[in-house]
Amino acid sequence: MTAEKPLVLLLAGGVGSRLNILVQTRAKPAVPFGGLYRIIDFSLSNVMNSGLSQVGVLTQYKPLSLMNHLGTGDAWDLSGRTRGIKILPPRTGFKDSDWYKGTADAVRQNIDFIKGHPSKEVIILSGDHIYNMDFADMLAVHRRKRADITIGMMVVPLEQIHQFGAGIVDADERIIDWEEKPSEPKTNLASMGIYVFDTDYMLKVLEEERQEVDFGMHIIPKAIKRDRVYAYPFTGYWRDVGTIQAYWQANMDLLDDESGILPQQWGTRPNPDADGRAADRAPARFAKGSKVKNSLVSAGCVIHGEVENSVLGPGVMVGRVLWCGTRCSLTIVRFWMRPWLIWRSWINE
Amino acid sequence: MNQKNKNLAMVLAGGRVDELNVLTYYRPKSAVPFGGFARVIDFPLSNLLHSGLEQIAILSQFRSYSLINHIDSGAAWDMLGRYRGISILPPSTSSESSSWYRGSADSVYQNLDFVRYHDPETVLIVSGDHVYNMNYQKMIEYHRDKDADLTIACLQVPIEQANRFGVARIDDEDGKIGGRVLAYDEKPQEPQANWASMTIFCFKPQVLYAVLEANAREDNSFEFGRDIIPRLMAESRRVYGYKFYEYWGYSRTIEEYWQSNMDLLGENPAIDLEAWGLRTNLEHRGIRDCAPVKIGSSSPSDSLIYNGCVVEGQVERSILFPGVRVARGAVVRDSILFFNNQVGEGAQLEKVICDVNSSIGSGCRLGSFSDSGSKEAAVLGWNNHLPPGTVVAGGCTIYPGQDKNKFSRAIEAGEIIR
Repeated sequence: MTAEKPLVLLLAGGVGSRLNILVQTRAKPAVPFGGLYRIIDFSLSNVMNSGLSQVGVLTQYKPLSLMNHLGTGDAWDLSGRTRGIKILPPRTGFKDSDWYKGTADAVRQNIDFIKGHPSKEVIILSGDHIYNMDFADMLAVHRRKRADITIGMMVVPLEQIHQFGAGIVDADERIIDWEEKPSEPKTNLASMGIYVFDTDYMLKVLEEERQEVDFGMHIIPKAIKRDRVYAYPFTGYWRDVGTIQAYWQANMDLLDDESGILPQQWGTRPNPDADGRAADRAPARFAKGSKVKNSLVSAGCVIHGEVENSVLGPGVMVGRVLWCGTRCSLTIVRFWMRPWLIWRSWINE
Repeated sequence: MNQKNKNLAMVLAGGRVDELNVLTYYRPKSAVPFGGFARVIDFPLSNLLHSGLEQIAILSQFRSYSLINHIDSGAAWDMLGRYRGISILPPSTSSESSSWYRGSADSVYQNLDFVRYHDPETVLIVSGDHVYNMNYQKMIEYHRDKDADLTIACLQVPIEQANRFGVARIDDEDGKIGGRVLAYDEKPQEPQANWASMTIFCFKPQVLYAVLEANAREDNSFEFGRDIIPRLMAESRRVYGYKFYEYWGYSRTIEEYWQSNMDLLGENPAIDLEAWGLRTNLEHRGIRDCAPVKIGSSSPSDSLIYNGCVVEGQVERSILFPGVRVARGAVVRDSILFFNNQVGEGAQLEKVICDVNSSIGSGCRLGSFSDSGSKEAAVLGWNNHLPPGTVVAGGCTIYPGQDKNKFSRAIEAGEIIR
């Protein structure tokens, strides 16, 4: 039975340097999001809700916070006789072992892990996207098309396509042309960095093309000319939160009922036990005279002052308003236990 | 290092407490929700955790499923490990005798083999029904220092209320810390003292075994307060009182239960959950999976609101458990809403205690908003669905899962719907 279930590899190694100080001490997937979550919770919850049960997490940059957060994996039902989550850091002592030089290289260095978990397909995910997707459906499409590779893709505004891999598809959703981060795009169908690979096919390609280190830049463009590569079109909410602006906007989307981001309805699971940060906290306290409007407030917060259009992680203390002027409010913020995020909307609006 | 735990703790969690009415219809008092996310028993369990006690037994009888579900592996209170554990002890049949627990003392008596197996140096017996923050280790140290047979934690109550408690007259042996118990009366008509027993006992194991065996052999009543303490006093055993001066939420009536909840609110709350380090089992009802509280256009005032709530209406001096939704235009005041309650648009609630999974239709008026003038709390059992426009006066009790057509007329003050 287990061989019927695909193996999941989650790429969580990138620095994500555009997220500035938020990633100074932690990997991008471990950055807090939406009050109680971390970015990687969205991918892991999708894995759980798709009924998948074996995950390898490829880490490289500052993995401690991430490892803490993953714990035993039981927050996403990834702990048990046939269920598991493994951290796969770069390591020495194997032939060709080195730091991960790219997405394909990272997967190649873990071929022994892949072979140790027999599967017909490998699903490769990125740990830094906010979305809700049923991988079981994507897998069904992959099998129906008898594809070698199926790539999750969605239409993005044309001016953003230069950040992504772009594909041109035929009537059957087969990808017939590919441009990686095009400056003069011919299409606005973007790769979401979500791949289903036929396992045997992937092992063969990774062995044969040892010089290629990146899926989007090297492996996929070559495969399109030669093999069966299909697009899996996706239309829901999906954000790459790789920049401060995109990250802030996605958080603000949580406050907008129309935006389409719905962690509670999606079944997105945080891990409140990690670091004891959220699990042990009392309900949020809204003091007399506090003013809170259109905001998310997590357990352990104590609000005396004003909070508006903001997202508060667990244990944020908001002091009394000292001074109020037009369009400007000054609040004293004290952080409980450890610095949480300063959400720019309410520090100096 | 000696890894054997020297102390065994037993939590008395079997009782229902009839006065709590529909709130204990399906669960024991100890499993009643409290504080916006927790259960009453979380207070003694968190005290045990912070006191470093690691072997716990829970004596459970009435509707024990809610409690078994809540305790789970005990990991929430760090009671899972090689040398740490929590055991739930329900009544059982055996070859000698098979009976329900006939009282608090009998529940321990029927599990004496369990106690002997653990062979503790001290047995700590605590009620699972009270809200307080206490370091049991200090009490155990006092108990050992005094070489006491029994030490009782006591708290001063107003003398006019002392008839509701077991009261001890304590000498001045150790001043503010405690002293020898000179006299003990269970619920006396005319109390002579006002140090009330908090139902927290330290026993020397051999004394406990002997007195419970004598009680089982010779008496017809099997309570610690009524039978065991008087027996030890009559035997002139070394019985000591350990004095406690901080907050103790007793709540044996709906009004007291409502008041101890309100003690969580205000400028300087008498109960500080963060400072007390209250721990609950987040797996119970899946509250670990809740999203942060969503506050819409109306700002809550002097309230505690846990993850998973969505608040569009006005909430004042109230406590909202996970999953409560308050729709636009609704007013919730001086109320306690348990898990997953829905308050419809424009509904008005004042001094309402509402058990889990109920819905209050749009435009309903409950409690003091009903114009009845009653200052008592309106209490709704679980799974009640009030149609839009229903009026329920203060002091009413609505039993769980009532048929909708019972609400076609206004429910008058103090009525019981069942």
